[in-house]
Amino acid sequence: MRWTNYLLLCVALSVITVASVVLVPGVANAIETELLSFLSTNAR
Amino acid sequence: MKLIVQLLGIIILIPLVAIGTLRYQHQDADGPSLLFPGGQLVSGPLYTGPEPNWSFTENIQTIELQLTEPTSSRFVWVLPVDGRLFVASGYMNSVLGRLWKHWAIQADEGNGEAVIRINDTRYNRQIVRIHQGNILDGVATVMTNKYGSPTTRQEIEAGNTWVFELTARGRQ
Repeated sequence: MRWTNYLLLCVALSVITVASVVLVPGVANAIETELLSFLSTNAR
Repeated sequence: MKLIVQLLGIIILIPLVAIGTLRYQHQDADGPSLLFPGGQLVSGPLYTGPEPNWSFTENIQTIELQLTEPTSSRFVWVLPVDGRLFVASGYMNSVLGRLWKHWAIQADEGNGEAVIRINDTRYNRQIVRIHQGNILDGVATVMTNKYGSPTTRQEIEAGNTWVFELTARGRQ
């Protein structure tokens, strides 16, 4: 993939990620729960 | 090879953007989440009576602590000793600790005003760093026994763990 296209893809994915976290109910909680679970298992 | 680098970039980018968004979202929230600092503590009645007997916090693991300069809140361990209330911040001699526990630096350098929320009740407090003194023996003992985090007075006085007392406003 060309770098220009790749950067556009990154911007698009970032926008979709931000919109999902902000607008889709439950996504923020789900990510936080997963993060917490990961950290409580691995961060010692 | 180029494709692998690009895929790796995307795999790193999406979690970073998600975490950044969550952190940004929380900064104005009424209190912290377990992972991200929150904003001003708003809900809950503001305590106005005589100085409480803080022994009830012996069975409470964390409280919400908000500084007013800047306005941000987080969960902290609570250390009641001899009727006085303390909070602590560890790893302060390490670079990572000072980044992670930046609130302690803000508390030390700020205007000293803080709000805590315990069992949904808010208390206006003055946050004062304690550098030395016999009370630190008690604080270290509570940290060790209550949280299983071995700490000594010497470690606190050496600056590895910063201890703050939460006093009544207007009293130091």
